[in-house]
Amino acid sequence: MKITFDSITKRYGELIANDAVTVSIESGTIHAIIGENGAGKSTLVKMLSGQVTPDSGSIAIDDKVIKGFSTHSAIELGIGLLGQDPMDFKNLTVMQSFTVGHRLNTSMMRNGLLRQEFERLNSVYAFNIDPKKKIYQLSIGERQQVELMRLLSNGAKVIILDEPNSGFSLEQKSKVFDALDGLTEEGCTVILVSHKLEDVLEYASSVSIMRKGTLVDTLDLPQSPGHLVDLMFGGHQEESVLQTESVTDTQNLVAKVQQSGQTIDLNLSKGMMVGAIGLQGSGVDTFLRNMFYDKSFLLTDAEGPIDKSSFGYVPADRLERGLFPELSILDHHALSSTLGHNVIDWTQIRSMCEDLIREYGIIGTPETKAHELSGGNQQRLMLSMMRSDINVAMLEHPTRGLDIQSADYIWDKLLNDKLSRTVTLFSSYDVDEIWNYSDYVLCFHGEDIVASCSINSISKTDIINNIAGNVIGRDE
Amino acid sequence: MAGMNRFYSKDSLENLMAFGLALFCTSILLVLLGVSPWSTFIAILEGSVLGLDSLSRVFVITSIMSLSAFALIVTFSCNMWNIGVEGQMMLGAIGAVFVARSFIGDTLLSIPFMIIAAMCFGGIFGLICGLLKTKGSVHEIFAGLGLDFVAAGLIVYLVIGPWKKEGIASTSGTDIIPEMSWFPHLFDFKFPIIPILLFGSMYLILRFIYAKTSLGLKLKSVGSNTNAFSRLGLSPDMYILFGFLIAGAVVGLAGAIQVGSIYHKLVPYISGGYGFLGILIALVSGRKLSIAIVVSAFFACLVVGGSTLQIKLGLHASLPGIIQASIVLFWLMIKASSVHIKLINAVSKSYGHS
Repeated sequence: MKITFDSITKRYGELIANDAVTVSIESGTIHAIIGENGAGKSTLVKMLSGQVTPDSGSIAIDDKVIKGFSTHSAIELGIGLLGQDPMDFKNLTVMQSFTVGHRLNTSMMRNGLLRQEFERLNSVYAFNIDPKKKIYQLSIGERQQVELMRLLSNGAKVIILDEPNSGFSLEQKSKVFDALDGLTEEGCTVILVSHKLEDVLEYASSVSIMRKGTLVDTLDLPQSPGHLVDLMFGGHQEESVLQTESVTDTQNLVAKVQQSGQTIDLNLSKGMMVGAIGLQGSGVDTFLRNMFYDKSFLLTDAEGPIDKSSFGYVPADRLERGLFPELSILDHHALSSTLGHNVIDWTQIRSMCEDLIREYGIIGTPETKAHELSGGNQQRLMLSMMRSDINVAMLEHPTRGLDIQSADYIWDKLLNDKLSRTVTLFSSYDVDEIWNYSDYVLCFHGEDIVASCSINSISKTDIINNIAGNVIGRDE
Repeated sequence: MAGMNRFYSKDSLENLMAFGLALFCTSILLVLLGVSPWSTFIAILEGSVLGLDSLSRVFVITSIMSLSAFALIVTFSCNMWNIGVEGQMMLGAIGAVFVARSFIGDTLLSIPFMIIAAMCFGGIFGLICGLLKTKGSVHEIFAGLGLDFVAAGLIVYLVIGPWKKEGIASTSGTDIIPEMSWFPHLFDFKFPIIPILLFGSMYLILRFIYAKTSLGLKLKSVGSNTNAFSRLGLSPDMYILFGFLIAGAVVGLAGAIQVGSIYHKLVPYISGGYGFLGILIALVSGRKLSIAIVVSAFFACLVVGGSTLQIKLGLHASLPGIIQASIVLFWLMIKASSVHIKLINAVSKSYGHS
């Protein structure tokens, strides 16, 4: 199906998310939409999936203008969106979530058929998801996989992937894209919203570049990455140099971690940046959450366990565990900075909020509500809410959904603050991120930590081998 | 600032349009029932705001409805359905009667203590609902509904049991409380000063809580996302309990008004459905405190003026209820379909062309 966006405009209050955007996407292609954080990529594709109504402009499918897009009509037209935050039902099992809204789910439930269909897709893409698990037990990546299976199984002809790579592991990603490649040959259209240039260059055949709500250009691929980056950021891009001061191994901090019924001690040092890596479902997804919520996971120094009230935790699923969708940016800052106060000094909070918006480059006003922000800006908001007095910073996928520039900015900040903190823990699926920024690395495989050591005493290949389960000799 | 003003007036224009449409639809319904809408509305107006007696009643009922709506707005801000609002009002009434029947009932101290007792009784009953929700994992709708029955049963028990009238036990209520415990009217105007002070001060306090305090912001946030709330190291349960406590105390005051200004005794079902009406008012007013007062005043006029319809126009006693319910239903339908906004746009467009 050929898709044409014709001068689409969408505003959120004073924020122009899309400003007269016109794009044409040919049938049977993988078309990428790239742009930095808050460039308006997600808003544009959400209009195609009926979740957002444009203020003006029109969308045509196969040169036929479609009036009154709703999520329902989008599904009827065969448009499926795989978002950054999967649209599923967390209290249902995987199988139930797959069944809701499935075309085979007619008035008489055909459970056997649905089951077969699920198993077929599960094995085709080697997703390895247990249909009996509850959705809330899955990682975001796994939830996105369930969602993708449902879309494909429902006969979606246009598949929109909105920052999918933040959830997929490398192996799964190539499987998914191979499948999508096959689908384009049958006339399906795939729209890939991403800021990861390597994915775009590898899989897409054409690309539209967006910046600050406007369309910069639509190009056929391949193109040189440098050219695309120039277009994304509007001009030359400064090569950011990060200064990492490596923390020496003094072992004055111990993390007590529960694993297969046993307590394991991890010998860390104060001021360290500890990176946790693993494939999805490997226990890396729940590690930080447990450190924060579970009373049997402890961090102890010479004076005993560190009080968890001085922990700051930034979860991966922003709208579910991180932010208050209905509250404004101003409210968020008021909340995080006035925990101990009774009366709020709004003038002071407002000026602080405006400073933080500027400092973290959040695209929005103090009145913008969290659910109106783009994914990357939600991430910036969460980071901007971290109090300066926290001792232990814990971040799940701190740069998930962020463009290169924002990610660099975030890392700059985290590295700057790391020595003033007792410890900074983060998780990632990205080996490069772990390799570049960690002082100490935890490799997860299965449910366990299979390797834990200083970054200087492990090679990148060893990290990859460890998380893939190809372990010959374990460290420690 | 200018932008804010423009937004404000647009909002009120939309509400006005929606209200006009709701009245229009209700009028059509009245015509279908063979009743003249014009004379009905005039009769309601005359029966409510013309005349000191009826105006005084309008004020009292506005206070009761506003307090119920405030209580609902508080719990709605925590994303909780406080169906137990009726029971909390009944407990407030029990608290007020308890004080009025005690040794201070015939003293000047009675009224302040009736008010305090009503807030405490209502608040604690609200808290029980909250505890069932947070500690007992009972959905707040079922907890509230159950507690409404408990409160209603408790009143019947008191009325025919420990607090029964001398010599007889009848469900018509307890003995009249001492006159010192009746809420006084100001001068000869029958101006119900205490109910107005009560809901006025509650309005100001709640406004302050939501606009200026961290508590207000926390109540709002816990309703928006409990997971994110606990991530900040705050206890969602505690603030949900706070919400129920405040709501119960606020609506407990409405119970005190029922006792002090209207019945002067404890009667079964003393809440009179105003708690449930509070839910509608909170929804219709878009969970805004000030609008809830306006909507309450309008409904109070319908209740007071409506009661004269039977006498003046010989209409059936159920008509005021029909009018009230249809206005709410039409209002909600109009809001949901945004017909009113389309109409405003169409009108402004045609003016633009001419």
